[in-house]
Amino acid sequence: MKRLITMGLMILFLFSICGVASAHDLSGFLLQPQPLQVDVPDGGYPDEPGGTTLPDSGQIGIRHFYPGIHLHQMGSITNTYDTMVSRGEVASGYNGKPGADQLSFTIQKEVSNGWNANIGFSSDVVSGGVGFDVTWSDTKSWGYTATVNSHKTCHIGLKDCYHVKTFNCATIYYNTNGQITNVESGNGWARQWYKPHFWSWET
Amino acid sequence: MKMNRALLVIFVLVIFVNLVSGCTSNHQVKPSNRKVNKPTVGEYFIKQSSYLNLYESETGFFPLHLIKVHDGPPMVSSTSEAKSFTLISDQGDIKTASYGYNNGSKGYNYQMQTLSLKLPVLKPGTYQVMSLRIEASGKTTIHQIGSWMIEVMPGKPPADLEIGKHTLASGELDMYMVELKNATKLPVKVESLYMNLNNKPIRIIPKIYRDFEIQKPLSDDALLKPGEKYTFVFKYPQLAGRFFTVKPQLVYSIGEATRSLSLPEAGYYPTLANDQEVLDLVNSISSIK
Repeated sequence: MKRLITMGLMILFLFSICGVASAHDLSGFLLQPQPLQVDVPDGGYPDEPGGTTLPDSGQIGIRHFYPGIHLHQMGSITNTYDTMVSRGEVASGYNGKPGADQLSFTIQKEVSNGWNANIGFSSDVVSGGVGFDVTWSDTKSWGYTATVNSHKTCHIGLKDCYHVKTFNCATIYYNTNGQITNVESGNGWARQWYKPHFWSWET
Repeated sequence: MKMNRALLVIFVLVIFVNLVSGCTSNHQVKPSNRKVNKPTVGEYFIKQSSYLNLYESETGFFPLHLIKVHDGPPMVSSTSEAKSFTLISDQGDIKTASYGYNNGSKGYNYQMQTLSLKLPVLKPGTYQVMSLRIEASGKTTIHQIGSWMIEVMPGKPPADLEIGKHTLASGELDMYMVELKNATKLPVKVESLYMNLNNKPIRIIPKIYRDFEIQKPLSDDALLKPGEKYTFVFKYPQLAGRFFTVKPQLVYSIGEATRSLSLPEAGYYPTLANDQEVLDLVNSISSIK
């Protein structure tokens, strides 16, 4: 009976390890390159879902225990800039009436923040360092309308605007005596969605 | 005894690993949707600072944003069964030709909506609009809608410039972008963008770019040669308020003549991060009602 319980607990233990391994957050979106810097004039409103951007937060770290005892540590913010990412055409409509009419549409897809780092790192630490939740997604938006002239098709394009912060980071590994065994230095970026920019054209 | 010790060690390890997994997992933190102080059931129109420049031959639209707050199931509102919408202006009542609703996001007790009113043919002149009268089932309600100026110009728009891609909406009053193609045989100089917001005339000088990606700037005094197409970016000054609708007037010169052209409408209003922000907005409206 005891052997059975021991085996059960050992299986549970192995599952737990697997669970931690899969949950361990190696990086943000591995396939996403760093956003380009583009000219996005701002109107000055701090309308920033998921938190308010903070000035450099200094060194922030969280200690983890798998694989091996290690500490994820944020370095400094190395650059801040804005970028726009195009989603292309998101809606279109033809007006077959004799006069101008309106095309109604809404944001079809979720918006979200994001991040990436070139070493194994943690989203929690990045969120703390850049001052906003890098895993945030969702929004509350209005219905939008576009005027369409008679016998024309109106096309709607959408660009998402982001604040981007780049940063230095490090993951420090320890042995069981608390001595440093390895230091991985790297860098990364985090982007914070802050507004949509719709444009339209007629054909 | 040995077996009991082994069991204890494994048990402690399981608990420990499960605790650690809590600190390393990638939390998907959703925005707060907690219940907040509920505003009174009703319709809350957002006050805008807006400017519409149009020709008397042009069909104009008047977009209004509102939040319907209900208690439990969606309310049967006066706007959903409305018979008529009238804009109250300093030049008299403007009875709108037709209307349509467009739903945005909704929460457990609210619905964000855009009400689009089609304007009738208006005589040339300037109209100041501050409120909206809704008549439905013998009941009349009046809503404050901010400060709107409608400027109607005589005649038809000139055919000197072809309008391509242009800003339709943005989350803040940032910029108006428009692609313009010179359809004349003379060079055109785009001078400025004009509007009047909150009774304050505003004139904005453009930045010129080769295309709509706005990554390749041109000289500020670049002329639009016959057949050429450039993108003009007008960056707004900082203004009080968060909701704006702008249908601006473009001022340009061709030869010795200065002309103007009414450009398409653009809406500038923020998206909201969560229920709390929506209801904060409703509460800010109800407190100044």
